[in-house]
Amino acid sequence: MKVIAGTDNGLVKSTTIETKETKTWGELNPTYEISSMTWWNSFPENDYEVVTAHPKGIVRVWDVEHGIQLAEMSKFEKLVKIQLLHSYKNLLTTCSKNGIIDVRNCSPGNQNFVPNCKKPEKQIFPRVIRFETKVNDINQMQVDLSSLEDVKLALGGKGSDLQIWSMENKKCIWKAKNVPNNRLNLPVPIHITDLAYIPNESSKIVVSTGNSEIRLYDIKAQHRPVHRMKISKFLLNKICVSNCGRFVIFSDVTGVLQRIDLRNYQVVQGYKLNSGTVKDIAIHPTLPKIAVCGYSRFLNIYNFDNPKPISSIYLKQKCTSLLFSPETSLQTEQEKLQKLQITQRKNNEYVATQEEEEMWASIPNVEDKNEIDNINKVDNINKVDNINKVDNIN
Amino acid sequence: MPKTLSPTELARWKGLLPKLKNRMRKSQIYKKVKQSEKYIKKQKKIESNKIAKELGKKVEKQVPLTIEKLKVPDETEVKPEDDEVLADLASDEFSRYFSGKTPKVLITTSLKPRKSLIEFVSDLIAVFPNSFYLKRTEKNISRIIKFAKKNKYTDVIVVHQDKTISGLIVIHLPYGPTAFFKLTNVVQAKRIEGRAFPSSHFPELILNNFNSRLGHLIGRMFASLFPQRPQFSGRRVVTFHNQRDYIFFHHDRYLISKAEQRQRLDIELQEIGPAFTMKLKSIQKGLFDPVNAEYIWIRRKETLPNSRKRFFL
Repeated sequence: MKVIAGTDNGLVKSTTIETKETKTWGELNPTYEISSMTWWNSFPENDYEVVTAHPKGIVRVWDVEHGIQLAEMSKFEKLVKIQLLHSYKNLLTTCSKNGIIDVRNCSPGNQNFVPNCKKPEKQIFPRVIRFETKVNDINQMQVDLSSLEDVKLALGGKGSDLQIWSMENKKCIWKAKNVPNNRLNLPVPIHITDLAYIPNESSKIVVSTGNSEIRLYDIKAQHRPVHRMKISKFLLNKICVSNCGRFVIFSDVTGVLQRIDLRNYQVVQGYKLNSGTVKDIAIHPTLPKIAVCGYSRFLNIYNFDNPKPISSIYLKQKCTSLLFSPETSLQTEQEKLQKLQITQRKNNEYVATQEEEEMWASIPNVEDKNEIDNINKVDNINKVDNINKVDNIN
Repeated sequence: MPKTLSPTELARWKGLLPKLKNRMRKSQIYKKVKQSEKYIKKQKKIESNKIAKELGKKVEKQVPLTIEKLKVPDETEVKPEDDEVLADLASDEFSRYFSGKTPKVLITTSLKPRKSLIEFVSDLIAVFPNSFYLKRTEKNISRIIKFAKKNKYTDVIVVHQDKTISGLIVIHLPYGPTAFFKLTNVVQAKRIEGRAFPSSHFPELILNNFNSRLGHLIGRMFASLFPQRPQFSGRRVVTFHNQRDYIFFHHDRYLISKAEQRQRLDIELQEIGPAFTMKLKSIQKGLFDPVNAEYIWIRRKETLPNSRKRFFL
């Protein structure tokens, strides 16, 4: 299994989990902080190309197998922070902290650069849509991947509640309403830290807030949240939804990881972590495994059931974004042999090695079937009956 | 009773000890048991040394086991061959000071301080060169930080009192981390007998045992409170000594003298100022923010492992 991590300093790292090897590339520069990463799926042959976004206003493309920087795009205007990139239908969508949404076309017909070249070239991709939402402080943006015709975005941040915009009309479709007042009759402050769509259902959204609550919104039902859960004293930082749509994994500012079941609304499992804020959570696309990184400079990988990690690797920088590659574990030669032997035993084609044959030869043989039955019989059953009988009670 | 017991009698009297009620007799027997145990141990050592000398082997001295030798090895130790970690340290938030910039420190207290706190602060002003005292009338610390940024200060220290002096906050400007400490065993300067008086020379710094990556962060934070060119004619030393996650602070004046009988150099120390111990509570990434902060490290029951042999600094 492979994991790709982007750091605070402008470096990109890739690790293989079984051998614990790490490779790094890039230049150390604290102004080139990475805020988000995605896969670059425009070339169906190569699966190992990664796009990174920097809050300075720059987007870079990397080749992860060879460690080369392929391209750099630098004409994003006055962006304070680039939020999320989702490559969908060859459309790259970016969002800035001020509220400017920028969509570019990256299909292979429109491009000028050659893959696997050594010098990176500054290029501009043609722009499709650009519009301004007048939302001030955005923390997270998500694109709805299940809708094919009309693309929708969900936004949220500090001081601005959940909103849903459509890309064709450039308008706000749906807006959430604030929760009713406190016991002291004061309005509850609005602070959204993370969003997630539930897969295969395009109308349900899970949201984590600054009051340490988790809320479920349903677009078709009502404007207020359908369900609210209060958790702890500290801020909730990140949220991730599993592929079946049943479990939600959330993390804390101090270093707490827990899992919730959406049918019961109860905390089901906790995981052991190093202390420090968690910056990104990633779930494998097919297997039930979780990867976590943060300011504690460690990478931890968990199964869904076990609180202890499978492996923890020391990365020397603070990591801010993660990607899980879709390949399963490497099959070494030993594992292939073991699998062959198991299938052979089931089909009665078992061929023993030399040691096993000597072991079977040293044990004495049992020839008759009657002897086997006689060994299992109990002798002197009558004696037991004689003890229990009572003679001559007078 | 004989002077020392044989090993069979030892085992018998040792088993009878908890059953005796006579206090005088019990104390006599306890003395004999301890004496004979020591005697038996010594005889074994002498015999083994004799045998080793006859065979020609070296007699090695045995070293006792302590917690510092049994502790869990730390993966995050900084090694001098690591290029990546050293480059990361060189581009830190503290790296501007190591090229010759002098710091300017602001010291305040909590609201309504007592007499003992104000005397402690006057001791601290003698420790840090180029430091100033501000009387606390504001309730918000974030407004004090704004005032300090206007007047070009580089660090802010807040000392906190809760019937005894118990807390310390160190804030590094303009964007830097804040650290929260817990103070215990505070000794004021005027209580020390035979102490020396402070002078205005720039002091020398000693930082001991800050080995891990977290320890390097805190060590550089302390080093950025002092100017980088010490004046050796003043003979003034400030030490921060770390052992098992406790940090010990001392402020001394030293004298190097040559003893005539031994023909080697001796160092004598005379205490000037306060002495206290610190323990790390948490480190935040940005400026002081009690609500929305992100933590680099925090000491909390739910997230720390439960073992006596694991240390973080």
